[in-house]
Amino acid sequence: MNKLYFNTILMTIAIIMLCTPVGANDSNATAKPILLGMSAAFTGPSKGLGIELYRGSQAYFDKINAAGGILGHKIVIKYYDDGYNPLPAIRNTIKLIENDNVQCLFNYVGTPTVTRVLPVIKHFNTDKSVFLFFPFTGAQPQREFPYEEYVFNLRASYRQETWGLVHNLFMVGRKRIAVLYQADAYGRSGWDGVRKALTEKELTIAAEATYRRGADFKDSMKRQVEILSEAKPDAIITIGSYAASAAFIRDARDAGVDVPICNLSFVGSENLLQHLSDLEQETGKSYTQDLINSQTVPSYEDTSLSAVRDYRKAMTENPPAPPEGFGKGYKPLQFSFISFEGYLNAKVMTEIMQRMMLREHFGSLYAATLSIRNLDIGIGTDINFGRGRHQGLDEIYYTTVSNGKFVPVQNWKRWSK
Amino acid sequence: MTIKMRMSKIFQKTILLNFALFGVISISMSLMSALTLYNHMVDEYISKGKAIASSIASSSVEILLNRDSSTIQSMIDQFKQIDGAAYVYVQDDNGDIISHTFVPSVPEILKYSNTHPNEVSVREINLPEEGTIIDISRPVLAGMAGYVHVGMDKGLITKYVWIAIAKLQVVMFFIFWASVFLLYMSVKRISEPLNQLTEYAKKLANHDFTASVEITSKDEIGLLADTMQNMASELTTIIAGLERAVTNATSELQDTLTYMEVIMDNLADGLLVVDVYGKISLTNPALSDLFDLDGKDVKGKDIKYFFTDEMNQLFNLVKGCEHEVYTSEINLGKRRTGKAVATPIHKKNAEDGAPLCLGAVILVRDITYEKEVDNLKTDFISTVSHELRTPMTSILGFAKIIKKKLDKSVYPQCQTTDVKTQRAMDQVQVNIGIIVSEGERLTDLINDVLDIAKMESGKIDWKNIAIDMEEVITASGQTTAPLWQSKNLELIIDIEENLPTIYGDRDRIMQVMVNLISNAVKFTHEGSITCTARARDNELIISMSDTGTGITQADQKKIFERFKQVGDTLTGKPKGTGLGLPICKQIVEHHNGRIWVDSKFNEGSSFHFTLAKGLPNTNVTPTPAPIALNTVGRRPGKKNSPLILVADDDPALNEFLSQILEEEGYRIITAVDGVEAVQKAKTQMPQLITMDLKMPKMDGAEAIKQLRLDPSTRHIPVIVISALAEGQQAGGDAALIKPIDDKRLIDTIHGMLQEDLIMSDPCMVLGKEEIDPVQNLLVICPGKINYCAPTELWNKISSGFKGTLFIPAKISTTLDLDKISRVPEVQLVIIPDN
Repeated sequence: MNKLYFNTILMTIAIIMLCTPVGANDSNATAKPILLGMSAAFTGPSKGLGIELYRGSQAYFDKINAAGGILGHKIVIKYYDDGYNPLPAIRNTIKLIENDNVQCLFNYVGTPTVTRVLPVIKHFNTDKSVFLFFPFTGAQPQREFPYEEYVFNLRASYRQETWGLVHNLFMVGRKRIAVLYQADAYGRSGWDGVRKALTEKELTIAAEATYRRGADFKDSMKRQVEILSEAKPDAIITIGSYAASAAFIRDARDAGVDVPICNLSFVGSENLLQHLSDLEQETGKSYTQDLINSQTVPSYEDTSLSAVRDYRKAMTENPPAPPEGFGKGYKPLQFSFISFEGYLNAKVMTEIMQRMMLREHFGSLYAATLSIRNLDIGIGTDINFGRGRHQGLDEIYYTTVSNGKFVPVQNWKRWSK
Repeated sequence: MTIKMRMSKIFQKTILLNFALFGVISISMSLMSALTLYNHMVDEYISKGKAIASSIASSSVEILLNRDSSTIQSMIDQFKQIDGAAYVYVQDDNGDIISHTFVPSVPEILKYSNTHPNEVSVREINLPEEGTIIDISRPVLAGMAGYVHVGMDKGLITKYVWIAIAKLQVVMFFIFWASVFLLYMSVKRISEPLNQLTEYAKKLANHDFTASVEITSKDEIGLLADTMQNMASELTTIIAGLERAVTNATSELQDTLTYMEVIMDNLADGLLVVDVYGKISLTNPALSDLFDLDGKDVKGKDIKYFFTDEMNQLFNLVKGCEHEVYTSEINLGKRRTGKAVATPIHKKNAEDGAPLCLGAVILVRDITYEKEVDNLKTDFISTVSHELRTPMTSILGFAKIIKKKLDKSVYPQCQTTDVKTQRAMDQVQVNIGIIVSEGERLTDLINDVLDIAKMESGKIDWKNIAIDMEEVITASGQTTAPLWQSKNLELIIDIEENLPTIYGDRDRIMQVMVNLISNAVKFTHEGSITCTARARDNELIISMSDTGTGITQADQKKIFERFKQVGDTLTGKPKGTGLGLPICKQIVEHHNGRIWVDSKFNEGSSFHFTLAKGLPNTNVTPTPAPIALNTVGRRPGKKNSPLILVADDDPALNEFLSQILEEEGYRIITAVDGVEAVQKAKTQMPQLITMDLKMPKMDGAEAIKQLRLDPSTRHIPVIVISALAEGQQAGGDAALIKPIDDKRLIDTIHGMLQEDLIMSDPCMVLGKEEIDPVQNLLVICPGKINYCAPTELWNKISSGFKGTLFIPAKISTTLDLDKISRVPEVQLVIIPDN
C-alpha cells in the first residue's frame, strides 16, 4: 500500500512537472529527460536488428535533443540487451519499469521476446499505465486480446506481410508455397499468416520446415532445404532472422533450388544481403537472385519521400553510434530498413510525446497517441491511431535485390510461372 | 619384507572380500535404483506430460478459438523448455497441427495421426530422430478447441538412469576406496601388533629373552603380549636359575675334572682310555713316557698307530666288554717291561638297564724293576737251589751209599754181641735212616720251593696236550696206592662217563691229584677217600673227599698259603713241605680253574678244583724228547767196561758220580770244567759223558756244542746233569735233574750205552700198526713186535707185560715216561724221529 501510495505521489509529481508551463523552457538544462525503455538484441545472431533499430531512433532523437528536446526535456533511450531471448526481455522490462521508471517501453525487438513480455506489461498496467510503443515485430499477440490495449504498433503485421507475399506469388502463378520458419512464436506467427493466406485461396502449405532460434550463418540448413525441396515448391517464404535466412538461402541455392525466396521485414534485409554479398564475393556464385523481401516501411532509396531525405541526412551527417557497450566488431550500416523504421518510430514517438505535453491530454500517453489522426510523417502514407486501432501503418512494401541493393519491386511478372 | 607380505596377504584377502562385497552391493544397488528410478521417472514423466498438456489445454482455449497459433507457440515454447519434454504440439479441431516445436519438421508419424481421445491418453511412440517418446494427448475443451500433445523423451529417462548409475558407481568407487583405506588401516592396526608379536615370539624362540614388545592396547592382542612377556620373564628367571645351577655344577665338575686330571697326570702308571672304536680318548703323561708319545697328538686317533700289537690285542680282548679284566705283560721298548691291565668301561643304559660298552681303560705300569727283582729272585732261587741241590746230591747220595753199604756190607759182618756196640750200630742205623729221610725231605722241599718260585715267576714251561682225566685220576690212584693201602684206606673213584678231553699240562695236573690224595691219606686214619670228576659247562670239576680230621674254618683260609700247614706242629707233625696246596693252587689257576675246600672239623674235608677245557696249542711243538734208550738192568763191574767222562765242577758231585758209576763197573774219568771235558773227550774218547751245565771256563752247553762240532766226538752220548730245567735244551742226549737219583742215572747210562740191546724179552711198540717203526727194531726184536695203543699201555703193563717198550718220540711227551721207566721188568726205548 505504501509503495502504491508512494508511486502515486511520484507519478503526480512527474505529471506536474511534465505539465509545467512553457516557462520551463528557459530552464531546460535542469529539465528531467524523458526516458524510453528499450530491450532488444544487441548481442547474438540477431544483434544487427537491435543495433540498427536503436541507431535509427537515436538519429532522430539526437536531432530533437539537439534542438532542445521536448519542452526542454531530452529524450533518452534506456536500453538493455536481451539477446533475442524471452527471459532476459522479461527481466529487462521489469527493471525498466520498476527501477528506471521509464516513460514507456519503446522499440522492443522480436516476436518471442515481445510475446512473453506482454503479460508483464499487462500486469504492470493494473497499477499504472505502461505502454509498449512500436515493437519491431509483426506478430499477432500484441495486436489481439488481451494485450492489444497496452501496445501500439507502427508497422504492419506479419499476417499482412505474408498475405501480401502469398497473394502476389499466387497472382504470378506460384501456388505451391513452402515455408521455412523459426521454431518460435515469430516463426509461428509468419507460418500462421502464410497458412491463413493460402487457406483463403483454398491452398495449403506445400511443405514446411523449422529451424531453431539462434541459428547462425555458419550453421547448415541442408536438412531444411531437403525437406522443402522434396515438395517441389513454386516459392519459399522464410520467417526467420537474417543469419538463419542467409544460411538457408545459401544452402538452397547450393542445392539448386532456384525458386523465389521471400523474407519478411523482420529479417533485416541489409544484414541478410551483407552475408550473401560477402558469400558471393567469396565464392563467385550468385545468392542474391530471386529474393523478395517484404518491408513495412518504404525503401530508404526512395528519396522522393521527405522522411527518407531527412533520414539519410541524419544517418549521413550524424550517424549514431551503436548503443554504448555493444556492437563491438559490428559494422553499422549506413542505411537500412530497420534503422529507417527506428527513425520513423522515433519520429512518431516524438510527436506523441509532444502531444502528451499538451494540456488537453493531461500528460496521458494513451490519450496523446489516440489523438494522432492522419499524421503525415513524410512517407507518403498517413498514420492513424484511435480507439481499437493500435497499428499505425498497414502498407507493405516489396523489395528485391538489384545491384547489391534492395530496391522496390516494380513488377511481379518477372517471377511468373 | 615378510611382514609386509603377510600383512598384504591379510589385506589382500580382505580387499578381495571387500571388492566382491562392493561388486555385489553396487551392482544390485545400481540395478535396483535404476529400475526404481526408471519406473519412477516414467511415471513422473507421464504425470509431468499430463500436467503440461493440462496446463496448455486449460490456458489455450481462448487462443485456440482465436486461432492465434503464435501465442500458442509462445506458450508451448515455454513448456518445451521443461525438462524431459521432447516436443509439444497443438492440433486444432480438424487435427491440423497449428503449433509445434519440431525442428526441422513434424515427424511423418505425427503429421497424419489423428487419434483424438476424449480424455487424457498416454501412448508410446518411436520417432526416428527423437527415439522413444511417451506421447500424452489431451483434448482441449473436449476436443472442440483442439488437442494438446506432449512428448516426453523416454530416451532421456534412460540417459538419466544411466547418469544415476554412473554417479552411484562413482560414489561407490569412492566409498570402495575409502573402505579399502579404512580396511587397510584396521588390518594394519590388527596386523601390526600381530607382526610385533610374531617377531617377539621369534626372538623368544631364538632365546632372546631380553627382547620386548610394545603393545599397550587393552584388547586380546595386548593381553597376549602381556602374557607372552610374563612368560618370557618367568622363563628368564628359570633359565637364570638353571644357568646358575649349571654354572655351579660346571665349576664342581671342573673341580672334579681338575682333581681327576691332576690325579691322572700324576699317576705313576700310564693311563690309556680307548673308546669302543679303538680311538684314543685319554692319555696321561706317564703313558706318554712309557710309550714315547711325547709331543704326539694321539687323541682321537686309532690305538693301533701308536701302540704295540700286545696293547692292541689287549684292547681287542676287552673292547667287547665280555670279559672283566685282562692283564698282560708287554714290552715297552728301551728294554723295559710293563704290566698292562685292561678294564672295560661299562655303563648301564639309563633306560633299560642294558649294559653299554664305552671302551676300555688300560693301565700300564712299568714293572721293569719288579721284573728285574723277580728275575733276581728267580736267579737267586735257582742259584740257591743249584747250590743246595749239588751238596744235597752228595749228602743224600753218600748217605744212601753209606746206608746201603752199612746194610749190605757192614751189618752182616758185625755180628757182635756187645750190647754197646749193638746199640751204637742200631743208633747208627737209625741215624743214617733219619739222615736219608730228612735229606729226601729237604730235596722235596727244595724241589717244591723251586717249583713254586718258577710258577710264580712264570718260568715254567707249561705243556698243552690232550688229557684224559679219567686216565690221570686212575694213574694217580695207582701211584699213591702204596700210601693208602698201607693205612688200610679205601680209594673210591667216581668218574662221570664221557668226560671231555681237556688240554693242559698232564704232569702238573697229575701232581695236583697226587698231592691231594697224599694229603687226604695223611689226615685220614680210617675210612675212605672219594675222588669224583664231573663235567660242567666248559670245565671239569674234580673233588677229593676224605673222612679225616677236617679243617677248621679259620684254617681253611690259610691252607692255600705258602708254608701254612694245618695241625699242631708240636703234637703231630704231618709230613710235607707245606707247599703242596700252594703249588696245586698255582697249577689249577694256570688251567683257568679254582681250588677250594669244604670241611667240617672232625668230619672230613672235601677239596674241589675245576679245570677249564682249554684249547689245543697248535703252535707249540713239543720239545723233542731226548733220544734215549733206557736199558734197565744191572750188570756187575767188568774189566774193559765202558769209559765214562764225568764233567762237574763240584768235586763232591764228581766223587759221588764216580763212586756210583764205578760201583756199576764203569771206568771213570773226571773233568772239572768244560774245556777240560772237551779236551779229555777228544783224547780219551769216552763212551759216554755226564755233563754239568754250570761250570767255570766253559759251560756245559758250550762244551756239548764243541763236542758235536768235532766229528771224532760227535757220536758220544751226553747226559746233562743239571740243577736247572734248562738241561733238556742244552743239546745233550739225555738230561737229569739234580739231585741225582743214582738209580735213574744208572738206568739212563745203561740205555745210552745200548747195553743188553739184544733182548730175549718181547718187544712192544706204542702206537698204531700202520706207523712203520724204525726198521732197526726188526733187527733188535725180530718177529716179536706187538703194537699197543697209548691208552691201553697201562692195561698191558698191569696185565704183566715184560719186555722192551718202544715209544716214538712223537707220543712220548704224552706219557709219563718216568712212571713207565719205574715199572720193573719193562725196558723203555724212545724211538727218535727221523
